[in-house]
Amino acid sequence: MARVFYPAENYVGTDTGYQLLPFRFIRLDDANELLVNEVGEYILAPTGTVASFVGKQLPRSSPLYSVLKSKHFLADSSSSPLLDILATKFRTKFDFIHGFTKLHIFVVTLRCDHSCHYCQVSRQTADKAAYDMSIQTAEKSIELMMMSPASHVTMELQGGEPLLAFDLIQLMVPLAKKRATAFKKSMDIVVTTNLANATDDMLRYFRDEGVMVSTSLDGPAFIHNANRPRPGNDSYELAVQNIERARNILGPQRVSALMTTTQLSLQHPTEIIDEYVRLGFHSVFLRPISPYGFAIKSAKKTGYRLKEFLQFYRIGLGHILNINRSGYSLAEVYAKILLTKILTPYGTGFVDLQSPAGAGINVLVYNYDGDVYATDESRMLAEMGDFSFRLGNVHQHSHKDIFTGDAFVKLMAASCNQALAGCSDCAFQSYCGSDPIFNHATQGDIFGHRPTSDFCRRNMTIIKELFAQILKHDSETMRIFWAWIQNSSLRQISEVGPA
Amino acid sequence: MDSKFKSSSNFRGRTRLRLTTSGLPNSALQKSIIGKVTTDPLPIAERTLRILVSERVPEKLSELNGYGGFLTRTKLATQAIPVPSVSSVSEIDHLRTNDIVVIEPNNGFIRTLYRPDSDHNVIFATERCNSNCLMCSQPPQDRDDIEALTERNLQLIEIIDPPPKRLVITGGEPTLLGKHLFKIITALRDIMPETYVHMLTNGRIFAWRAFTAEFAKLRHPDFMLGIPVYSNDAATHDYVVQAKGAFDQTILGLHQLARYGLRVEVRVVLHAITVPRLVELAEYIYRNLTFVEHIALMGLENIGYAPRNMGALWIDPYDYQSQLESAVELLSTRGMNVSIYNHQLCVLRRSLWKFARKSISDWKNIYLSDCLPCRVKEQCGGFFKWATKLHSSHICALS
Amino acid sequence: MNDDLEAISSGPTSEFSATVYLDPRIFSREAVLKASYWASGAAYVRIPESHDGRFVVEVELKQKVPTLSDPKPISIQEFLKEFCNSLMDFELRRQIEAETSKVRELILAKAFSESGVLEDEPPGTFVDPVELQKPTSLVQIIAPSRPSNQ
Repeated sequence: MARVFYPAENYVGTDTGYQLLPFRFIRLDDANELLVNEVGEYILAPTGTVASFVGKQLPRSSPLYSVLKSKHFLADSSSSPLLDILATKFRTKFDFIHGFTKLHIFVVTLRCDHSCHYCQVSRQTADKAAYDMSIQTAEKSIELMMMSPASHVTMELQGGEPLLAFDLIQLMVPLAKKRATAFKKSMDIVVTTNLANATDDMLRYFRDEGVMVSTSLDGPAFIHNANRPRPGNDSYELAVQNIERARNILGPQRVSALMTTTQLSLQHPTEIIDEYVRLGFHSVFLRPISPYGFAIKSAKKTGYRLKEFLQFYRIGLGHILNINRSGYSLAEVYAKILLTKILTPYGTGFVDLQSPAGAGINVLVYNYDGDVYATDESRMLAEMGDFSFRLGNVHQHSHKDIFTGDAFVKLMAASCNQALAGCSDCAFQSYCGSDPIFNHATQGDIFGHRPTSDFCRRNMTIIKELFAQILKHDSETMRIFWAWIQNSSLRQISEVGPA
Repeated sequence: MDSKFKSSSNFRGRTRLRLTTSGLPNSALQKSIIGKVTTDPLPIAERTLRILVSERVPEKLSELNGYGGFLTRTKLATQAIPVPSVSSVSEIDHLRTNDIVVIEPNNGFIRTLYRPDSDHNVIFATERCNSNCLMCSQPPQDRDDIEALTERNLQLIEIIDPPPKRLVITGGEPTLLGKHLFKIITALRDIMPETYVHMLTNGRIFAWRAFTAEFAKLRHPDFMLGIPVYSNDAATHDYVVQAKGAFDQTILGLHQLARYGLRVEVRVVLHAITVPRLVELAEYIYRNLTFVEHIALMGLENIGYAPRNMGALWIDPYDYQSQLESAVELLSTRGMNVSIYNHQLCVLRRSLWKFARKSISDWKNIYLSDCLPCRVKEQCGGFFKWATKLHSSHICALS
Repeated sequence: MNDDLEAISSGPTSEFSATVYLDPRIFSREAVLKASYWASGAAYVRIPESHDGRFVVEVELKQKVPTLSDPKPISIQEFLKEFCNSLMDFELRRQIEAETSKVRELILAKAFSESGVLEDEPPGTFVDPVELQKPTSLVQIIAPSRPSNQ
């Protein structure tokens, strides 16, 4: 039988209309709407598109029709909706849940030599015995970490100032490594320290044990020292010297810095960013300040308004983009997390911006006294007398007790933004997250009130800002964003080709 | 669209390669015979499976004893040659020692199956196909050749020596072989495990999980499937491949292959039907087929079905550089591995040169006479030999 | 959707407040409640009992005077425009939900089920003209339980 060629119309099938597949939408501005599907793929369309699309008025011949079809916004009789493909993509987006709790924070001591205004820990300047983790508590906490199903865990040593309890660290590190081997887990260890007390021996110890260092750099001297008072008022000078020393001993890839934003910081985004560039860092995290712990007690010093932060962020992001355009690779970490969710098939396991919320599911905090908390912020609340999110104690409770206990179970009800008022319809749902503890601390209940929620407004504004950049379709900006997402330099992205 | 350019020999100055010839079979040639060519006589102990190729017939016919076959340009009268042979062969210059050929009894057809000095050797699985692509360079035949070709291919695999760096399994649609394909892949795995095998397939059968599971069990150590996806729009893809439901099956097949850890590459032939939505397709591949190891964007071959469908297919490659550049930019900035095949450097935008490969198989690769003075000729992949009839209007030597 | 404008009747009752009447044949209770939820950011919202079957929503702007942090508070007219847009958007969302909730559950079920358990059979057939005329062992590989003459 001779083969015949058929025209294109033969493969389109009869027009029997279309069915909607699940999606959400938002008005971006007066002229545009954004449609977003279940896995975060978006389509920008003129205002009114959603109404006509939902009203089954969209003609098959419209170019938008085939885009909507191939991005799983609609299905019709001419081909299969490929729901199994969509399911696989959905599973990929949520792969970050796999393994359950991956970040384990150990508060090895509450003692600290600094008095930072925003500190989320009470200042405790003495009494080692009372405020350091005991070795028994450390052992039990490490055992609890090993109960996590994750095949890879991150052990974060924190405080107060953890280096004040260096002896304890030297016992915990080998113990944790031994237990990780026994449980067939791989493990990263990080110590978050102001480095003021770091001796060369300590740094060499960290190098030899493969421990990474995360330190604070709030900006140039006048900001850093104002934010982080210490006897001698030399926190900045010490930090810079010690970052250099740590880099020399551990290697620059093993030393990272985080800034914390205060009222003073909000006035100086470009100076802070320039300081990071001056010191040779290639990423900066423009973080909002958490409204917890000490910050609330000294509200005057850290009185902080969301609007000012958003302005700070916008100026900062613009400045960072210009720095990249001039040839220096510098990623903004919060943008990178959001861009990964917006532009790639993957989700992210950043505990402050995930749904289901990171609390417990992705992070667990073991306090110096053995109490176990869902997040670091939950621990701050406890310092102020609010124990709502204390999940248990390593000396009294098993892994199962903790995760089936009332505190955790109650938290779960508000952990998925898919099921929260306001979020369940939001177009940005797959990019955003939920933070029941933030809601509790700022609005009085774990569910929160979305229209007045700072968490919501902050994320919606930043997401819209990023979309404004993306929808400019400027190829240089996009290359910068993709370099951030892939942790490579702009030059590497531009030179892509065979080796 | 005839060209004023004439084809030139490839720059090494050898006569153009050919893979087929024919002559008059003798009565001893009763069935297809595979053998390794020798242009010099061999001692008796080494003559099994060897095919002697010679201008002339030896004085004593007994000198031919023991050979698997004999090919000669000479016209034979009534001499009875004791071994299967073909005489009055029109061309024998292309046959080199250790080439592997098959000689056919009914028509005296001599086909080269394997050349040790080529990087482009192919295991031809079948002429059957369940698609019917508008631009197919190897149009299907609805004749069941699978048993015969499988037997031939298994023999071929046995006598290839030394094992090549790479082999391509192609057709038609190789997966139509079913169990026979598994036999071939198993033979390749066992006999030449270091040889990289690339299989060109429409991938549709892999939508059926049971088949993919069986395929995965073969555990070939270095295997990749090259699967075409022509559009993000199902109707357009189905139109190009002339098969309803092909897009759905192909995408599902790609996912099953990924699930079983099998390596895949996506291929896109660029022509007037695929180019308009090329950037959307690039985005679709990134979002839905993120696991693919490589994406090949390929220039159209003016052979097979393509000439008769050229009205719907032709677009000068120079005229789609904008879409090509955007698609390559999209994929490469996202960390996807992209190559451009079958395009000449004078037609490609400068930014795309680093993605261009010298992809055309040696036996069908030419340069045009206007290419001789071109400064980047060594770097450029040149043309298919049928490009003399149809190519971009923007070909010019670069200085 | 042009009817909606007549389905919404709203009039400011003062510089900072208004009452909105909504036709229940056009707007669902769900849309009204959700739009009111979002309105409760900038306004106090009351939904009093209705006497004529229409939905009634009373709104009073929270911010009446400019402040340093918000020098240009929203006017009641602006607010009502946005509220109407919001109502229409939530009505659309309700329609989307009604049509897609089952499929969404299916997608999630597939995503979280054991590999292969909820997978669909591939669409269409695979065979070429030769296989169609004379089925071979190929079919058995695809569906081991199916006899080869089917």
